[in-house]
Amino acid sequence: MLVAILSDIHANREALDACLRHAKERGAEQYAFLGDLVGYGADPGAVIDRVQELAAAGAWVVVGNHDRGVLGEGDATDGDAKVAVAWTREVLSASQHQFLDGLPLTARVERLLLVHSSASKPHEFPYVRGSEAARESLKATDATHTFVGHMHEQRLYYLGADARAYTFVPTPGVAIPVAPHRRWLVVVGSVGQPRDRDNTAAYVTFDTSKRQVAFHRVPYDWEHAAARIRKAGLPDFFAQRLEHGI
Amino acid sequence: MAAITPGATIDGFTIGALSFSGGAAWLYSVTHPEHPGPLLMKVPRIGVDQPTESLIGFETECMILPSLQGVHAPRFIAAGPIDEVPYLVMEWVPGFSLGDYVKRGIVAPERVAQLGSLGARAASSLHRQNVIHFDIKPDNVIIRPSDEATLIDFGFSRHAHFPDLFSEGSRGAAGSWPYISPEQLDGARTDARSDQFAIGASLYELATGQLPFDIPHSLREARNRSWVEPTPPRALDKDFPPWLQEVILKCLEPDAEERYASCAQLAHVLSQPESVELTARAERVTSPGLFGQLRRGFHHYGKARGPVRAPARQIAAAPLIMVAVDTQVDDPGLLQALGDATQRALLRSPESRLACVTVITERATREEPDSSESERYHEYRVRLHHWVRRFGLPERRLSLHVFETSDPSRIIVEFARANHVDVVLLGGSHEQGRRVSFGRTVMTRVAEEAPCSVHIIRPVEYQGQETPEAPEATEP
Repeated sequence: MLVAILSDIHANREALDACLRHAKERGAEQYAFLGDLVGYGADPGAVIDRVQELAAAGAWVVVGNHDRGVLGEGDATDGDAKVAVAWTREVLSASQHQFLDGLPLTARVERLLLVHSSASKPHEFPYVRGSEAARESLKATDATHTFVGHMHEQRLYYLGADARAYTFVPTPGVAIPVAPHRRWLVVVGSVGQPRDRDNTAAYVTFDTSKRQVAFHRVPYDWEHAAARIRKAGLPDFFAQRLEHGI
Repeated sequence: MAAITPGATIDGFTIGALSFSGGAAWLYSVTHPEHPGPLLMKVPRIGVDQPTESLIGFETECMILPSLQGVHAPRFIAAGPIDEVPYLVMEWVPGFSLGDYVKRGIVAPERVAQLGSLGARAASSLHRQNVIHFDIKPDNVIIRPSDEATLIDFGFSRHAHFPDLFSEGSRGAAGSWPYISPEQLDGARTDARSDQFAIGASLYELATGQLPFDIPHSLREARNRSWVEPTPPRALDKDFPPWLQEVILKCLEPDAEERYASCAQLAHVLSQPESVELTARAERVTSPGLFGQLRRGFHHYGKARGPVRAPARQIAAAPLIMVAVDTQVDDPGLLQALGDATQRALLRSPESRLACVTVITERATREEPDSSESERYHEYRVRLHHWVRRFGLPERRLSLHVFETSDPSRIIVEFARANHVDVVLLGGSHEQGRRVSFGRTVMTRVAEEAPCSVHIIRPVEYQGQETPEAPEATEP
């Protein structure tokens, strides 16, 4: 079964649609969303509706720090992000709020673990920045494959025979064998706000029978998404980020 | 895990005889009703007394082998889960290994060159698929009855797009020390030219019956190859061809930059002795003295290693460009356009090489019945030589080929395939009076059948003109 795993959509409907189309063309049969459906972008309602639809059809969804921020829980965002959170809270319907409110912090499907930030202290939303943080997460679970977002860049970490974590920068579009006798941590990248100076939307697919993970980059209409942000009166920097991938 | 009893069945594979028992794995011949042909099952030795490296090697092979295509690697059949029933089943490659040749004694230089060319082609095929073998040695090169080489044992290999399990921690020098490059001994695992060094060491052994560097007893001793010059083959056999010595010693240069730009180029020079540019390497007839050793060491010392591209990108930077020139056709515009296109391609890649091919067709033979075959051949070569002069290429970047054939497209496609050509430049057909240059069918067939990119070149004069077969434009 091919699972498409998407994270950090951040209310970017154009990027979400492009990734879902891309995944469908490649034969995705199952979807997973690793949180931060909202924040920064201009279409939180449409994004939630789409994810909710897929969740009803069996997609796995977990909550992110921006989603929690909109619910008024925790202090997981700061600066400009707070502005977006406040704006989002106003535009969402009661049922959309309710959907966010019902999302779990983690989801476990057999030997796979889905979590927004890290298997280690998921409620604190730590960043998996480098192999030390990756090791913390890898050690905190007995799942063979952990999928996380939050970092807005794509990385593959694995536990070495010496119990240290090693990092690998993936090449988009290549299926990488990830056999389950090792532990793997897949940082899937961000659909709606990539920050590695490549402004294409990022997500991954995981083939559960072949045990291969492929990192993808998908071009989308960022100009339209940026125009929507400006029209909504959100900070201009959010629009600039989409143009430059920052 | 202990050895498996013959007759047992694992996942549908019936275990046959134990064909090899090595330090890291057992090899069994196996059969499977759904997979015809003789197969080989590799079962790793696992246990507390086993070094971690041997399991990592097995794991690496399980990752890389399924990704490889073509005859130059054993066909992957199946693999069992490493944490449950670890095994790897692949095609049993028929033929003799270069190790078998080594055991039989010194191999004649012509055959060494031939075997080397086959081995280099096999390595080049892996490099194109972004895999560096990193353990080429005579035992790991099998020459099939079809006269193609297959590299086996990918336990130390690296796929540029997969995590490199050998880069974990400080694993040190992965590979067979007598053969591997100095950079590999230092743990560098990104340069496809490391495989060239190992091919050079293997050819040296085939040609002289001895290893180019002593069998090292420690990593420190192994590192001597950065400054110790191997005894030149001509010092061991005064009749050894200088050109082949040039090629082998160039492969054994401690600095990868001094070797050939790619294994495709190495394969090419080994099959085209006349294209080898002879340097001081070819001249050496005595063992280098202390001064020579120091010079090699000094030359190599402190060389910074720049960032290295993935193997396929590295090859793309050193393409073999083939240009098919029809010297029979009297179409200066087309020849000019073909020349300009070739020049642009050469300028784009300073590491590129040019193979110029022309054909003598039956028509030419008919039209010039008085000239002998060798005269015609000579005349065509002279024309070709004249045409390539404009590029001012050194010999090492150029080769000329004249073929007599009634089927030019077949010759072009076969040449491209046999020489791992990266791009074919070909004049586009256009009616020129009663002649069609290189024929429309030639152009179409080459474009369809060539194993690489094909660029069709047309001179500006053609542009905007209708070709005779194009349908007439009708008024709306």
